[in-house]
Amino acid sequence: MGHLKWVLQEFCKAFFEVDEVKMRFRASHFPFTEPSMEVDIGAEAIGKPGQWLEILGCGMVHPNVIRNCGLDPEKYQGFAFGVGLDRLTMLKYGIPDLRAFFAGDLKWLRHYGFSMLDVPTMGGGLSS
Amino acid sequence: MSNDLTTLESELLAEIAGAGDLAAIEAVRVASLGKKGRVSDLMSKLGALPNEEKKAFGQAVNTLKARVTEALDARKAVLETAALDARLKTERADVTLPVRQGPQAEGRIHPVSQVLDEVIEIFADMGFAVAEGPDIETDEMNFDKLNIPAEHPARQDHDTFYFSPKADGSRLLLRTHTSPVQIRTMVSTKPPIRIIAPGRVYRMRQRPDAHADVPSDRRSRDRRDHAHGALEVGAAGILQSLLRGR
Repeated sequence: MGHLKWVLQEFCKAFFEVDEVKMRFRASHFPFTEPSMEVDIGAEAIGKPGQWLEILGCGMVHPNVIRNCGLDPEKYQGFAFGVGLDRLTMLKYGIPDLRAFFAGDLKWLRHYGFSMLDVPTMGGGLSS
Repeated sequence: MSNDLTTLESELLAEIAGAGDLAAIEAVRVASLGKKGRVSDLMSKLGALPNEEKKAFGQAVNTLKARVTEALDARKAVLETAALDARLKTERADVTLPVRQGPQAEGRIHPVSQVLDEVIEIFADMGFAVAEGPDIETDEMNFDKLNIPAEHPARQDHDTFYFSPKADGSRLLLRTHTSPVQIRTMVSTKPPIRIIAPGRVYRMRQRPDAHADVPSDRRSRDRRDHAHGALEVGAAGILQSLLRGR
């Protein structure tokens, strides 16, 4: 659990390119994890103080799942999380309408798209 | 009375034939068939006529109306074709020109692709590898092994894209999450495992606008507004998992 929280925290900080991010883990339920949580981040990270944004679901891999894969849940444990890439994209780049992602509108792509030479790296910055 | 009609008809037909562009034809239409147009005026006179003349006059006006409408439509079609031809002539692209240099000729990276690259970069930095699996999965991989029981709502036909059942009754489906990739990796690799599994996932959603019953590649995240069944394809999910010895 500690590892899970650290990894998610580091991910959010790196992804939103901020030094600190407030996170809130709410108890939830998924069949494949136990315990399960949904994660909110403080919207300060994208310049909207005072709000919480749900960004992902996560948890510790359910013992049944580990057993189903032929491993012993007494010996192994793991964590997992799932996050929608389109949601992350909307939040980070302020894109209001999800449907535009699939419309294939060239004008939209020229506006929101990225230069192909703008390759994200941890050292050189993820986005320009 | 019938002379008036004949005169009016020939006048209008002449005007229609003389109309040089679409705006002119529209003006003629308004002046004749519009609410206060000349043909419509005749109709309003109908009430003042003696009963025995009403029928004949009404028929005559309707015939006139039909002829004028027909002439208008025909002329309009000719003018539209001419307008299109003119446009095609002036806007013709010279395909032998060399490719234009500069930013206009350069493609752009889709924001979701960009974000995927960013996400992979971050997790790669933490030591996670990228794992991939098929978009078409089995019931077992997508649900059973993930501890999702047969009666779970996500397994119903209206939530998941299933293929037609095979002879033995088993069905393939389009994966609803990338968790099966995690299962496949756990089965085939010895722990410790540290992976992320980015990829497309497919879930059925209903469209909010009620009149659409065609499959659509557009989708809405708004689950409250389901009015009608249609399909959605899309959404990329990443699933990351870490498995290690206790």
